[in-house]
Amino acid sequence: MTVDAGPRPDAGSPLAHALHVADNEHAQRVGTAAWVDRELAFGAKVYYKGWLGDDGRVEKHWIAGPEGTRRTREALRSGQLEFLDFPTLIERCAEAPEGLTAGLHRIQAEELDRALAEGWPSVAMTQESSRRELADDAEVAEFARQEGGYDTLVGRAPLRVLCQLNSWVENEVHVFESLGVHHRRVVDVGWDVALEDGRWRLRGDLDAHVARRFGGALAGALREKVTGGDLHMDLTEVGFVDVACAQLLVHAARAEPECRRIVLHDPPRLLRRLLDVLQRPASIEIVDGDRP
Amino acid sequence: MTPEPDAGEPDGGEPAGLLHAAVLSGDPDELARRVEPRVRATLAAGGSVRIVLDRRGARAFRDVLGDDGDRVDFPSPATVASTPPARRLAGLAGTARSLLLGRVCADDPGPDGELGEEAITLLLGDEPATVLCVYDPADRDQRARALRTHPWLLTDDGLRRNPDFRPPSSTSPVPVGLLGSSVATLPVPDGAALAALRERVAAVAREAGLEPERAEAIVLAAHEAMLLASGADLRSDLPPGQHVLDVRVTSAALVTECRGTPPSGTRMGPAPGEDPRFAHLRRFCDRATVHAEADGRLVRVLTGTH
Repeated sequence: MTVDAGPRPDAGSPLAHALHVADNEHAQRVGTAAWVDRELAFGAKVYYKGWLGDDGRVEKHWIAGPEGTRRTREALRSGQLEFLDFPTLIERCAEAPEGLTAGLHRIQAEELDRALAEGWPSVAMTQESSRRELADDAEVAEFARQEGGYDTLVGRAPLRVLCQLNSWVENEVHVFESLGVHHRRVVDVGWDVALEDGRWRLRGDLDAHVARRFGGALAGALREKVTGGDLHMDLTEVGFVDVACAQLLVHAARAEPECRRIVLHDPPRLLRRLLDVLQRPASIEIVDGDRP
Repeated sequence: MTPEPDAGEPDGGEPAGLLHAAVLSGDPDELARRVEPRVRATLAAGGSVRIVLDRRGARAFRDVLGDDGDRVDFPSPATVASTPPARRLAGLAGTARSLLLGRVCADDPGPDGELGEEAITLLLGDEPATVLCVYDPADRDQRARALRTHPWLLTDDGLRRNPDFRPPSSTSPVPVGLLGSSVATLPVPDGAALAALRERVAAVAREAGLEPERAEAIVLAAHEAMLLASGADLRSDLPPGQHVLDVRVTSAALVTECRGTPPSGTRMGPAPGEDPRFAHLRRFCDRATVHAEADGRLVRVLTGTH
């Protein structure tokens, strides 16, 4: 799964705020470089937030080197791409009288407004894995509020956001919560998901390697539906589901209120057998007919 | 009458899984009398019984069992001989330990007969079944093979461990005639490599001409077998290690061998008997066995190609 595959999401679409998950640094850079390059090619102003090395020079960051594209390097010189390192960002947010999260939202809104005022047709923002511990519920909630700021901006301007998640630098809580917050659009290793037309459309393979991440996204999708309504999962383009991920579905369904269902549209045939083996609860419903 | 072999220790407790025993008997009536108590006990406990003997042998059992003989399956030896050894328990669906008695392997003097016995020991090891193989003690070759390939002996005095048993190798090199030629090997160093494992197994299954649903089941079983071999529990990714997939194909079956070798000191997941993953994967193949090794686990999964 590559983060730049498929059409560029429409402005205002919830899919315009995506999470790119990678297992290693190389994969993260390849995906991000392709996404940034495409946004630049479409004429977007790009804001990049990340970590710099000890010397604090953006010229030493990978995006300015051979792992970035030529267009990216030119954009750094021309100002189409602006880089802001995390310590500076945190410092500015901390200085904000309204508090850290509100300060972050204000900085993001100012960047967006400035780019549009300069005449850029669209804006793109991407940020590297934040390496936050998310040690308690309060920190998790603040993280969710901060990410929600992107959703607000996406809803009001031609903005596209790519959040990068490096699974090898973040702890399990961070990975799980990050998937939950971004469940509307995730591009992971071997699978992806997009919330479209009220359905949670999954593609690829769901296996033990990504089970915790899938579990995080599933929890996020169910949390969004917590006020009611069923979760419709379109599995038409899912090729494989193993015991670990099937078990997650079963456990999630059992934990939901009785009145709520998880509706699986066109699951792979082996998943049906697997769910039967795992004693599928009645709240998991299977609907056929969409698979071409 | 040829004397009983130097019988080993008396039965010190029958195994929970497969009980694979040789019965050295050249007289059908004597054989029927010797095995009768086990047949009746199996039927009484709700197990299924299948006796695969020629007409003379089958009649001896019918005579000794009386009405209970109607509850026993008596297929012809020719029918069973065409079934791969690892699938000869198919259809024995009792509610308790089942019993299979026959001399199909004994009647095959070639190497396939011996390999058939080894296949039963290796591939049906976890089956709650009793397999009694009848050999003629007057035939030196048959007698030697019976003693070499059976962990148990059913003698006049009852069940005994066989001191002459030579277990087949559960480690490489695996006899080609037993599990087929290796057609693909693949290192699986971590969870990210599981997708490549599935692709490789799927490609072999396609080339073997398996119908799609059976091929998908083989892929799932192989994937779960690797996780089981690595010691991962149901909530964990494949831990890094020197894990290897080996796929073997015979005309009758596709066998995936997953050898898990986690780094030394790694805490392994639950034992296979307690691991729900093992129970699940067995629903998607014909046979699965687990062998504990010094530095890890070997999980074999067998699925018939027909």
